[in-house]
Amino acid sequence: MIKKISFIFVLLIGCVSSCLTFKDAYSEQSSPSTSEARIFVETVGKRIIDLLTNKSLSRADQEQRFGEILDDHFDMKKIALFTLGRYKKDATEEQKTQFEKLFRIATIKSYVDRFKEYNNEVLVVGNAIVNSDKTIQVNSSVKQTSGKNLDVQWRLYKGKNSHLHIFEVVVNGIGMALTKRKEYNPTLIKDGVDGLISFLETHYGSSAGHE
Amino acid sequence: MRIIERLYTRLVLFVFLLVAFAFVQQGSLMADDKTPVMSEKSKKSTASVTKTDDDDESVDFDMEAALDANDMGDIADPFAPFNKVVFAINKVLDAVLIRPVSIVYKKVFPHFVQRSVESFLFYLTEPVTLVNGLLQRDPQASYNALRRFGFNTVFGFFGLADSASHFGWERDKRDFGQTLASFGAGEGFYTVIPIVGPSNVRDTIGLVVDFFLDPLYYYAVSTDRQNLLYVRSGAKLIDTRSRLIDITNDLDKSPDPYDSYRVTFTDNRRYEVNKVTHEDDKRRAHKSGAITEQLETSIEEKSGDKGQND
Repeated sequence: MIKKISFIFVLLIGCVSSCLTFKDAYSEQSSPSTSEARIFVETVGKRIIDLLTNKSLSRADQEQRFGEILDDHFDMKKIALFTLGRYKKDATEEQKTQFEKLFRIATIKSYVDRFKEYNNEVLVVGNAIVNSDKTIQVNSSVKQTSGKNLDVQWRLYKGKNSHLHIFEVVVNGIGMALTKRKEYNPTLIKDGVDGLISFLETHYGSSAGHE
Repeated sequence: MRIIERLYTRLVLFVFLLVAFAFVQQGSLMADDKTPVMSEKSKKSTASVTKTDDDDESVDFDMEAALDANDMGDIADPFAPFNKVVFAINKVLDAVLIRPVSIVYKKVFPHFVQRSVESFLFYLTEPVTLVNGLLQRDPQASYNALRRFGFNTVFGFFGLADSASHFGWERDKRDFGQTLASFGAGEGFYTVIPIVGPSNVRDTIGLVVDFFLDPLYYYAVSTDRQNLLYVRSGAKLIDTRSRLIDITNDLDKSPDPYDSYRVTFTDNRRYEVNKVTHEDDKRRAHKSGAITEQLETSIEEKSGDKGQND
């Protein structure tokens, strides 16, 4: 009897320790590299700040270069479709393509506008968090000359090509994807995808034509 | 001998049950941690490692879940018709008076003057932060406000320069709206206050309480210099408006400016409140079982490291 119980006991301890070892090994293997993400954010963030604080560039140049950064490092297609919320399902391919194009232009103009007063800002990258869905959150702050800081959260995922892609940037709680989705929602309810496209077309259509 | 054998058997059984219990607990924790991963993995095996129509090169992950899109927290706005009227009046007032004055202020006054005004107005809020920090059970915030106030009084010419920030004592404004949140008060419904703009019930109460927490109020009342309060309020309005011109220009271009202001204000305000309560962070950490790596370095430090490595 004692031998049996002792055997089961030893067996159980063996199982527990194996499971824990496997869990640690699995976490390590499946966690994307946070240091890689932080370096990525440093590089992209610095590129954005250098661009937006470069007063020698014309507005058109700033917009063009900011668009290049978005295309290189942001998953604009995913972000654009996310902002449509549940209306994404009903949108036709043509509507989606048109909306993605206009959303990109609207984002470029919005960010170049909002940060045009910035001077000598410095990006400081903080901690990185790996979520269980393998997306990564990198926290950073933009140190302003006035003494006020902007907290910037970057949400990333690793693509099949092993490149990191940004799918959300949150500046002091205001997200490129999530806040925009909330903003667009009432218009989508009222006028549908066509209504939103037609609004963006009126405001940014001419710029989209130059793309 | 039999007694010893029985005792040993019971002891082993007890330890066995204890280990089994620990194993079950650990197992459930692991299951909690791994559920989203397993679901993603199973999605991959069943649905798509292949490219989807809206995802050219990404691994499959649920952006809705990643951004908590279904848990965004609606903004209660039962008095929307009334708020829209106040919003429209504010817009007219802004267009004919506040915005033009702010633009003139921004264009006419040198940058260092504008920074001094902004710095001085912030300096006046430090005593309010000191009190709210204590009420929020965050003595560090109060201590920071106290040292900033003292330092800027002496080395910042009574707050005209924010020398404390250059010294590494960064701004950390606390208000009574956050204090109420730290005691568990919800934000209530959305409101638009005449001249002030977007707010909610909790922050409106906070605004009133902060007004009475302000030592300048008691100084002005006791010395019969109420004009000081009007000048301060006017300066604060123009200073804030001048710094928000680019953002409001952008919000005004949105499909529905009322909604854009409402959403932008609320997201920003929830973020500021969360900095004090950490409720969202706790919820997300619990939900995702996040693994955090504290790696505090700056760009400068990083480039320094690179230099050393090279």
